[in-house]
Amino acid sequence: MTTTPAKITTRDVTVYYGDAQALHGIDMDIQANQVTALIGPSGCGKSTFLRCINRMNDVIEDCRVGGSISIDGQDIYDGSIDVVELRARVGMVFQKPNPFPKSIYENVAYGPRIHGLAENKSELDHMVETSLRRAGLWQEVSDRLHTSGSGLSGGQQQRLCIARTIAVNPNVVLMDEPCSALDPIATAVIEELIEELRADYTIVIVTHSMQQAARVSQRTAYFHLGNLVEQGDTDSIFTNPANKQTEAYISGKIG
Amino acid sequence: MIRQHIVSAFDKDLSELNHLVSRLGGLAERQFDAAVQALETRNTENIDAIIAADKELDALEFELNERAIEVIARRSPMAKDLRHIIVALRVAASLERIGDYAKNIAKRSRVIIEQEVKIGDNLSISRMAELVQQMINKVLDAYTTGDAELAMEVWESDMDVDQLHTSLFREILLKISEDPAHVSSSSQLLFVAKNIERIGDFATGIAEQIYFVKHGVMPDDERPKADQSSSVNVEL
Repeated sequence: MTTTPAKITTRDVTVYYGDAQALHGIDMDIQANQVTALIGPSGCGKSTFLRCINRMNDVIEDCRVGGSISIDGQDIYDGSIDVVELRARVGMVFQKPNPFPKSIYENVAYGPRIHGLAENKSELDHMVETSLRRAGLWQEVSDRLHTSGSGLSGGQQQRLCIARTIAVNPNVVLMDEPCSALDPIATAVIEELIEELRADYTIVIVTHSMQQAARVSQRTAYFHLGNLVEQGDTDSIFTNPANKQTEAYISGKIG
Repeated sequence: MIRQHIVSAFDKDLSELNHLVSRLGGLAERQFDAAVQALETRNTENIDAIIAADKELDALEFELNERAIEVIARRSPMAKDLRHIIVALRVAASLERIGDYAKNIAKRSRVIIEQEVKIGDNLSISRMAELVQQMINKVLDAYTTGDAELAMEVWESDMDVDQLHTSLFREILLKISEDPAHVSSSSQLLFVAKNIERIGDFATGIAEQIYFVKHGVMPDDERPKADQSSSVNVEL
């Protein structure tokens, strides 16, 4: 086990939607340069938890978040936090690829432009190219950067969204079922990309595929009914989980 | 069959694998019993049948391998299910090896019987064989019921087999030195004793696997070893 301080630390995180409690005191330490998979049945709170990490829940009316979440030791729910800046640092990739109805180039350039990251056109070009390369998309799109992003295949669109996310230099990337709309080949390409990206980013991924969690992550956390039931090294969670509920869930057993 | 999985066909797959392991275990047990009986009763009548029947074990192990691979491919087993299937494969391989050793005992017994040697009435060999038969019987029960504690009893009794083997080894060497005329049949008996000891080792290995399915780790303690036959030196 690593002894370096966690990149993301959550303590007693609770979430309420109105009167309904969706999360019951989640304590997690998420390490840098690792992929942490959040698994559990629908409605278990894993996506809710994921959205707490970049304060996406702020936009949901009636949603109250309690407890504390800090990134690099800084409380992200502190009043001094600029949420827009936070969401650049903590990027997010969604279930359905959602490119802007703009060109491939504009999809990636949008973030750096609104955050004022590029001094001039050539710097911006460079950022677009680098991001597309890191997302493994450059070779496929370099000759048609100014065509619409929505003309790409589903897998390419998802990689475009990843390029858009990393264009603003995040250090954490959250992924909410990034492959659920993709075929197995496009899924494998994304999974390969995830493995490459973890050298530079801390990745937290929500997935419904046990096999995907097993393939891509180093740590796995199992959520059930808003509780964090078990977290541990992926190798042990999928071969010898400590908790009976985890075992039942990952083996498809009647709980 | 107790329904455990949401996909009931998965339960059926696993119980079919168990059934194949049981059949293989039954065959291996029968082969070993028959080989020991041939030697004890000085009866060569069944030896050809024992040798021929080994093919059944081979075929059954092959069938089990294929089924296990299919189940892995179709069901992507996790956790205990995965251990269960991997262990079924390993146990099948051990049972097939037990069958091989039984066949070899039968072959060697023919030489011993045909020479009509009185080898001290083979008293200790019968005792060792009986102990190993009990181990196989118990370990197959433990496999069927998933009883890791019963499996550990088998694991522990391997020490007795090792001790018996060491003393038998000495006994036979002395016999050879006293009666050099029967050196070839006595040597065959040495191998028979070694085969029985190896079968005991396989039963012990199966016991460890049963423990592993249940607990996800191998048994803690270093298994006590008492076979010193490899360092026995009888002055001739």
